[in-house]
Parts: sequence; structure tokens; C-alpha cells
Amino acid sequence: MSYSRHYRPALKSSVDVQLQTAFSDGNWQTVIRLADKRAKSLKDPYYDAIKLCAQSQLDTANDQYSVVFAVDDLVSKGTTVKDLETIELYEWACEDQIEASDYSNTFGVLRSRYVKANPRAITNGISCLQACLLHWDLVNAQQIAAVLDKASSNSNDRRPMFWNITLTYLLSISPQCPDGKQKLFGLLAFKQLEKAAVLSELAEKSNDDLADRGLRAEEELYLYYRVLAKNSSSDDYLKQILHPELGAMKQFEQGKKQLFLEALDVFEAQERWDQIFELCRQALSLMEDEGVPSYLAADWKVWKRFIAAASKKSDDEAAFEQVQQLLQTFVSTKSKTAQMYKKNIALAVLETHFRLPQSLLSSKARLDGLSPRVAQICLYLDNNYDRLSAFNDLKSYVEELDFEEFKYLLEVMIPKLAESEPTPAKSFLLKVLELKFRYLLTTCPQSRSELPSVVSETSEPSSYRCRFCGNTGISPCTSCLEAIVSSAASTRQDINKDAEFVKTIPGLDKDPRAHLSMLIGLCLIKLAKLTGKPPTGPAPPPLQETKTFRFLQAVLVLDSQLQETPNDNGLRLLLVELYLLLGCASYAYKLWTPLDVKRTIQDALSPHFFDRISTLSPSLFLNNRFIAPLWSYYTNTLRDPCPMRIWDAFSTGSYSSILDMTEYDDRLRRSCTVVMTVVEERQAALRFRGRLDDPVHESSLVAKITDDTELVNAVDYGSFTNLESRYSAAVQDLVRLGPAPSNERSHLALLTAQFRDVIDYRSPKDYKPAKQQDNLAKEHIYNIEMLSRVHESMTSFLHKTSTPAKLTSAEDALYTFTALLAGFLATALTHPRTPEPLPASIIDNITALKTVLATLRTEFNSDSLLDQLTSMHTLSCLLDIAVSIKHSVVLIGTWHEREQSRDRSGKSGCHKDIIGALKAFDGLAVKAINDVKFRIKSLKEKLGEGGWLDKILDWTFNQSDGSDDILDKAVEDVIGGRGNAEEWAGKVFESWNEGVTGWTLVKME
Amino acid sequence: MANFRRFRPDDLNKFSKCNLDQYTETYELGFYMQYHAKWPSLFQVAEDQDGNIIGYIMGKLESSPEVYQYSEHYLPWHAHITAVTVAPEARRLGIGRLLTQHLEVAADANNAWFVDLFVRVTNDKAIAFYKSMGYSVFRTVKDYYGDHSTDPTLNSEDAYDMRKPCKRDVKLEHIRENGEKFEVNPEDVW
Ligand SMILES: CC(C)(COP(=O)(O)OP(=O)(O)OC[C@H]1O[C@@H](n2cnc3c(N)ncnc32)[C@H](O)[C@@H]1OP(=O)(O)O)[C@@H](O)C(=O)NCCC(=O)NCCS
Repeated sequence: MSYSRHYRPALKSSVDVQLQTAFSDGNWQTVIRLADKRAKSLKDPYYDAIKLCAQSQLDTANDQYSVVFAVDDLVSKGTTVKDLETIELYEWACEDQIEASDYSNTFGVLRSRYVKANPRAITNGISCLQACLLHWDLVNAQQIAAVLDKASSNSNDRRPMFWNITLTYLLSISPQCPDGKQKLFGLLAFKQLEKAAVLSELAEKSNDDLADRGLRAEEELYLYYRVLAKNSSSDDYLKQILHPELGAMKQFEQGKKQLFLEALDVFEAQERWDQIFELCRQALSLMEDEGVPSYLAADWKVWKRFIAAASKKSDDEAAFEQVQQLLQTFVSTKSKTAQMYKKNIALAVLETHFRLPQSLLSSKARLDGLSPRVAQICLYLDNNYDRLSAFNDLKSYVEELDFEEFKYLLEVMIPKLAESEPTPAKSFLLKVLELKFRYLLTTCPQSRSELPSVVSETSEPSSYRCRFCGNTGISPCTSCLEAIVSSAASTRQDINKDAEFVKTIPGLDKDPRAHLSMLIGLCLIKLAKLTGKPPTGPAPPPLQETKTFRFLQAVLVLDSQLQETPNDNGLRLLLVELYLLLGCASYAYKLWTPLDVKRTIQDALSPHFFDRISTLSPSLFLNNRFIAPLWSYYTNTLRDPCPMRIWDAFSTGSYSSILDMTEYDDRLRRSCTVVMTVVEERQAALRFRGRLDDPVHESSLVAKITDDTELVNAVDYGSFTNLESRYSAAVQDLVRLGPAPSNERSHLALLTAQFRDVIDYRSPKDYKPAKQQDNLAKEHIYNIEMLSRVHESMTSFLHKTSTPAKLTSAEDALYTFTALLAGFLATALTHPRTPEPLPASIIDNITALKTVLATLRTEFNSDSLLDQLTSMHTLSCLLDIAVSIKHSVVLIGTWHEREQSRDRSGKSGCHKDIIGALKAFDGLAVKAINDVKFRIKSLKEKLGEGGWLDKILDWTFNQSDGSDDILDKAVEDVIGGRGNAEEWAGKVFESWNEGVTGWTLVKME
Repeated sequence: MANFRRFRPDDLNKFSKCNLDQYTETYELGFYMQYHAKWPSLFQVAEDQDGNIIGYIMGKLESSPEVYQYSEHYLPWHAHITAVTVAPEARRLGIGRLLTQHLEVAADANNAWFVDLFVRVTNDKAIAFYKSMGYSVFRTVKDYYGDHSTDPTLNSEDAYDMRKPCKRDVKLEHIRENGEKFEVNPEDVW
């Protein structure tokens, strides 16, 4: 596939030297003259094409477009171009003039006509197929593939047949599919495959070579079953997947488990548990030659499904007996097995104990809390306590324990395990696990009992009794969290004192002190009362109404741990988010950089740092490498309309890869991270330039996104520590600046950018078109249309019930305001200028705008210095609103004046009450801008004063009610004394200072 | 706990446990896609219970390009390990070995002569890992890498080209002793 664009094609070798030379020298006038002559004398349309191509390289629009008209003419007249070289020449000449999306109506059609007319020219046919695929023109690619399939039915190359089927199927699931034809194409692909399957079956039975058009290669089978899953009844799928010759188990026996895994996925979606049970049983029963069990199926997911299926069988007892028997063959095998499989099997044993039917539970269960489940957990712990993954492996089981079991595990069993054959490593590592499980308990509902509410019977219970420590309060239990911090800090001290053990730490999976610091950090975050986003409404500033000193302590502890274990990526990522919350964007960037998030993984990881970054610290963008890697990744990756490397998959016959790659490409083009890249950059640029020249809808990365495009968030939190139960929010949800990227927020941000494009637009000063009035009228209509559209689109996103919970409160205000303002401006430009008072709907709109602004101002107004330093996001949204108002006032004002001078009757222009309202808004905007300016100025001044280290340390320590706070002491112990906190305070101060200084450079209008 | 299966493109959004590690290179999308497109069954992953990728191998089957047919460095039909990595938390559980064995089985099934790979001469862990599975150094490629993994003042690092013979190489003609001493230049490897 030709990936090099704009590569000048070579002319046919039959062309004379003179013309060849002129063409390759780019001597276009000569080419035109010579080609014209040859065309006339030789009567070969190829020379007309050369001439048009040469014209397309000239400067005037007429010349440039003549080739486009010629191509349109060929298409509309149904002409079949005789040779491929002509098409290629045209295609090269039109590259800049014809949109890639028009390919299927232009060159795709010409190529497909050519192939139909020349079915035996296989090489040319393949090159046409490639060209259509490069432009992702599935309609013509499918037609070409159908011709190639027919033409090569007697050849050894099986690919054209499967290209045809694959493309027919792809078309059936693509938006390019002609309306109403989806089903037909799907069925067509399916029928062709079904026929192939029958042929294979016959060939198998008769042992001859009927299968030329049957299914042979692995990838052909995968294609068959994928299409089958989509286009046949679930019974048919079942019948075929169990097919003795083609089916999943046959493949499995040959050592290929892909189909088996796909079948399990399909069955799970169809809730065919009996089938899952049977398939898993067969696969797990397979034996190697030497009589040892095969591990091919011994994946965790297979065991888990097998056990889940057993519990759903009508005779679950018998089913579990089979599960246990099978497990036993694995447990008792003497062959050398990978540790990984041993772990899978140990966990499968554990899983079985949690899913066993009541009737099979041992009757001597439940001595105190020592149930068989707890005993199994302990067995696992005893064998795996030194594995980094031990906690995660067990978490989902431990959180299922009832309270007595949980307590028994924590208080009796884990200490007991530590005492058996004690070594320092064992006791320290088990202590770490005990504390982690205790933390887990604070996040589980069984840890608390509700206290009846005293206020009214219906109101929500506000208070709980912790069943573990007996204290009452809110959830999670404060005294348990405090106890965990103290215990973790003293364990950490004990480790430090044990010099022998410390020496062995580099040989462990991970430094246990890093686990303890993380645990302390998480407890402190909870103790700071960071609650995460509310389930329905927008998220208020995360540090508002929290115990910020606990939050600062958490940051301090984690930061000091990172100095000791700088390669701990989970810790580093968490700190990046924490510093963003603290308003230390430049320091967060310093922590972010060593992670070296580049190229492909940016899509999933860059939002950890870049999401909302322009609202925190626009000056970071003054470094022009700042967001460039994201831009270049997406521009390179999404440049061609087709999925990257798709031809490789076609040419190798990797049909299932074609389907996967297509799906991924479609997802990537709809990534919220793509939108984030565009929006953040524009937002920052606006801060320094006031207005932008290129409208957002022309940005190639988002040009194809419409309101209906479902944008997807694919942020990867895999590296974050997760000690929470399934009932509690994950830590990233507590510490993020606001809700995660979402379809709704991304659209609202794009629409806001479009709104800014309309209100920021000013015709260039030196631009004096001949028909100025006409142009102004057109601009006026365009503005009304755009503003109405933005208003409608934003309103419909904002009205979705799920939307508020996906925004911060400041974003909610900004987007609501923008939506209302867009509507109001459209009204201002259209409402007749009459003496009648404004209708109530417009007055309501004005009131709503004022209310939204007032709400955001309340959020902005705070006397606390720390609040001010950590609320740049709110400041940024307020500033956006104020600047929007200012630009809107100019937009309407200019139009109004123009109308007044055009028509002196007093009937054109803006209604006086709207003018009045705009004036009032302008006053509010000026006030808001002044407040923002004042805020920045005063922060700058305050940061210039001395005593900041003491101030920060003061904010961090000695803030709790008790004068001798045990947690203060624990934090000091972890960081090695308060003296060490000074350096940290210095970094925090420095970063605030850099951030605020950056804001002083921002254009506030 | 882990599952072994073929790579799927959306696994790229779950690569952080492997790729944030400093010894694991992150490539452009086209590179991953090329392997998925051309050798889908040789790009295998291990995933944990949450779908995070905790290990993967990218491999291919090929010979040296035809033009080098008569060069002494020409490589006949063989399997190549382009990348193998296991997340730090999942190391020493045999995941790397299982992934590599999968490629070796495919190499034998496709009648390859050997499996080979390049590794930084300072990557002791990986070298120990390969040696434990029967690979040996075939040659040293001088200045193969354009940077140095441990010494930032250096701007190159040598690679070992390591090999393990496949079943087809009954006479063990494709490996050699003391390969460390057999030095070639980056231009000699394609
Ligand atoms: C090299 C790497 C892939 C090994 O993966 P792994 O899953 O931990 O390896 P395994 O558990 O399968 O180890 C198999 C054998 O290799 C050897 N081995 C593996 N890691 C070793 C180490 N750190 N030190 C010494 N020997 C080691 C051992 O003999 C081991 O068997 P054993 O555990 O029974 O003693 C992994 O360390 C890694 O991802 N490193 C970073 C990326 C990298 O360097 N890749 C190679 C680039 S060419």
C-alpha cells in the first residue's frame, strides 16, 4: 500500500522522452503543451489526463480544479477508464482537492469500474483493492474483492475469497453500508462462510480435496465463527462451535485455544451455563501424552467460569464433585509446573470453597470465625504472603467474608500464621497484609451497623457503629483508620530498626515500607474526608470542606516514600493526581515526566496528568514540547482514514485481526483523549492569545465528530493501588480533580470551543470584500445558525440525567452558562426591535444566566489562602464565563450599530431590553475579571512574602483538636522527623509560585 | 492469577503495568499493529483478573531479505522474539518462560531453524532468563542500541544476539560456542 502521499507517479514507459523529462522536472507548461499535442495526434485519453494533471499543479483555481471536474465527469457519465495509470495520475492530481471521505464517490467508483471491466488483471485488481482500503472505502473495496474472488476461483490463492467475505461482513457492520442493506450483507457473508464450512466437512468425510473453497486455515475458521456469532441464532452457533471437525474442541486438541476462549465469551453473553460447564470440563480434562494434565486451558478465567457454571447446574452437587475431582488431578500432579499455574489452581480451590452449595459445606464448619473459607484463605496466604500480588489475589474473597470470619482472620489467624515458623520477613509481610485487610474492612458494609436516626424515621442514617472497634461515627470508621496509621507507622519503624531484614529487602517483590507508606497515605486521604464525586450532582472542589491538614500529611508521606522508591509507578501516578489537586501543576509535571508516557500508551495514560491541565496552569503550555507528543501521536496515527497496517492483515490473511483492528481504529478516533488533546491546547492558547485563527471544527483530529458520536474514555488505572472493596470508590475517584473523561464532558467542551469560535471571530481588518453587505448578511445568518445549534446541542447534553455527575461544579456552571448564553445571543440577533417588553422566556433566560454566574462566584469567593491556591480550576471557569460575556457584548454591539446605521428607522438592531441586559452582564463580567485579576495579584504578593515554609508546615501539622496528635507523630516518624518536611514544603511553595506567576501572564479579556 | 491468550488491540489500553517499567520500550501504534496483522498467533499476552496486561511477547517468523542471500550474515527461516516483558509484580512466576515456549512451539511447527533475539549486554536479568531456557550468545552486535540503559553519558550499547536451536537443527549448526567473542556491526543485522 502506498503510504507515501503526494508521490509523483511515473508516466507509462511508452510516453516519449521529451514529455517524460518535462513531467519529472515539474515543467508544467511544457507538459501541458506536449500532452495536448500527443492527445490530438495519438487520440489516447491518457495524454488528456497528463495534461489535466499538469494543469492541476498551476496556481490558479481554475487550472487546479479542471482535473476535479474531469473526474466528476467520468464518474457521472459512467465512463470506465481504460488503464490504471490514468486513474493513478488523476488520483495524484486530486489529492489536495478531493476529500478522502469523497473517495467512495470518485476514485473508488472508477477503480471498481476498472476492475469489473478487467477481471483477469489480478495484480491491478489487488492494487485497486489496496487503494480503496487505504481510503477506507468499503463499498468499492467489497465490490472489487467480489470480482477478484470470482476471477481467481481456480487459482491457489484463497485470499480473494476471504477478502470478499471479510469485506462483505465489514460493510454490514459499517456506517458506510447503504441504508437497509446491513442485514443483507451480513447474511451474504454468513452464507458464503456456511457454504465453505459444508465443503470442508464433505472434504473431511470423503478424504479428498473438495475443500479449495472450504475452511482450512486457522484464521478462516476464526472469521467463520465471528460472523456466525453475529449473524446466526444462538442455537446454530452452538451447533457449529461444537462441530466435531471444525469446532472449538477440535482446534483445542491441536493446541489452539483461541476459538475455545471466544466460544466461552459468546456462551457467557448468552448465559448458556451448561455449555460453559461442558466445554471447560472437556478442555480441563485434556491430558498430555505422559498422562499429566494439559495446562492449555488452566487459565484463571476458565477455572472461574467452570466453577460459576457448576454453581448454576441443576444438580450442583454432582457438578461440584466433578470440579473438585478435576482440580485434584492438577493438585496431585507430580510434573513440574509453572508457578503461575500453581497459583491459578490454588485460587481455583479457593474459589470452589466460596461457591460450594450449602449441602456440601463441611458440617464442622464455623468454630468461632474459622470457617472453611477462612481456613482456605489462610492456606493461600501461608504459601503466597511474600508475593506482591497476594493482596489482590485474595481481596475479592476476603471482602465476601461475613464480619465474624473477617475479624477472626485479622485478629487470630494472620497473627497465628506469622508465629508459625517465624522469620522477620514473614512477620513483617504478614503484618503488612493484615493492615491492608483491616483497611479493606473499613470499606466493607459488614464492618458497620447502622444507628437509628434520631431526626426522623425516613431520613438517611447519618451514623454507624463500627463493629470492629465499637466506635460510632460516619463511615469509614475514623478510629480504625487512625489505628491503621499508627500501627503501620510503628511497623515501618520496626523494619527500619531491623538492619538484617533491611538488607534482604532488595530481594523482595517490593519494599514493605512502600506498602506501609501507601496505606498510611490512603488512610490519611480518607481521614481528610475526601469523598469523591457525589453520585448524581456535579462534583464540588475536592478539597472544599475537607480536613486539608490530613490531605497535606498524605501528600507528604507519599512524596517522601517516592524519594526512597522512585520506580514505584503506582505511587508516582497517585502523587501526580494529588499534586494537581493541591494546585501544584508544575511539580506534578516534574513527577509525570520520568514515567516516560509516550507513543501508543498516551491514549490511556495521558489524561492522568493532562485532563483539565489548562484550567490549572496554562503557562505549562508555553513550553512548546508540552503537549506536542500527544498531538504528533494522534496526527500520525489517525492521518490515513483506514486502520493502521490494515493491508498487512489483508495480505497475510489474518481475518480476525482485520476485524479487531477495525474496531480499535474506530474506538481510537472516538477517544476522549483525542478531544482532550485538542481542547486543552486550544484553551491554553486562548489564555495567551485571546482568540484563535483556526476554528475547532477544522482541526483534523475532531473534524468528523458530531453530536451523535459516542466518545469513549479508555483511561488505564491498572497501576493504581486499589485497596478498596467493591462497595467503595476507588482511590483515583477520590483524588481526581473531577469526574473522569466522558462522552458528555468531551462534547460539551468541543461545543464550548465552537461557541468561542463564533463570538471571538472578527473579520480581518484589511479584508474588504467587494460585496461587504452580502458578506455581513451571510455572517449574520451563520452566527444565528451556529449559536442556535450550539445552544441546542449543549442543552440536550446538559439535560441528560447522567451529565451533572460527569462534571465539576465549575464546569457545570461554565457549560450551563455557555448553553444559555448561546441561546440568548441567537435571540438577541433575531428578536424584533419593538417597543413591546421582552417575553417571559427571554427574561427567564437572563435570570438563569445571572444565577449561574452568581453560584460560580460563590464557589470562587473564599478567604482561605489554601483554598485560593487550590482552586485555579474554578477561577479558570469563572474567567471563561467573563471573557465570553465580553466577547458576546462586542459581537452584538457591533451588529446593532451596523444595523442602526444601515436602517435609521429604529426598527433594526437589538431590542433595547436586550441591550440593557447585555450591559448588565458586561458589568458583571468586568467585575469578575477584576476579581480574578485581584486574586492573582494578591496571591502573587503573598507568595512574595516570607515565612511560607512555616506556613505550609503549620497547615500540615498541629491542626487537629487534640494537642498531642498521634497521627502527626506517626507522619513525622514515617518521614524521619519534621525537619525533612521542610524540603517538601519548599517544593510545594515553589510550584504554587510558578503556577501563580504563569497566571500573571494570562490575557484577561 | 493469569490468563494466556492472543493479543487484541484494545489490550494497548491496559499496558501500563508492563510499559511503565523502564526496561520495556513503548512503540508507535503501527508497530504493534504490524505484528498483530502479520503474525497474530505470535503476539501473546498474559492478563490478570482485572484485564490488565501483565506480560506479553511479540514475535515473528522470517528469513533475511533475499538481497542478502549470499552474505555470511544471512539468516535462514527462523523465529524472532521482538519483545518480551513481564510486569514487575508478576515476575518469577514462569510467565516469561511460558510466553517464550509458546513462540518456540510455533517455530517448530513452522519448521524454523532457530529462535533468536537481541538483548542489551547489561540486561543481566533477561540474559539469565534466556540462558535458563537454553539460549546462548551467537554474536555480539557492537553499538546496536542508540543509547545506554545504565550510563547516561554513553550514547550506545552493545547487544547480544542470542539463539536457541529448533528441532529442525538436528546437528546444532546454527549455534556456536563463545559467541560473545564473535563481533559484528549493526549494518550486518537486518
Ligand atoms: C526478562 C523477563 C521477561 C523475565 O520474565 P519472568 O516471567 O520473570 O521470567 P520467568 O519467571 O519465566 O523465569 C524463567 C527463568 O528465567 C530465569 N530468570 C528470570 N528472571 C531472572 C532474574 N531476575 N535473575 C536471574 N534469573 C532469572 C530463572 O532461571 C527463571 O526460572 P526460576 O524462576 O524457576 O528460577 C522479565 O524480567 C522482564 O520483563 N524484564 C524487563 C523487560 C526485559 O528486559 N525484557 C527482555 C528484553 S530482550
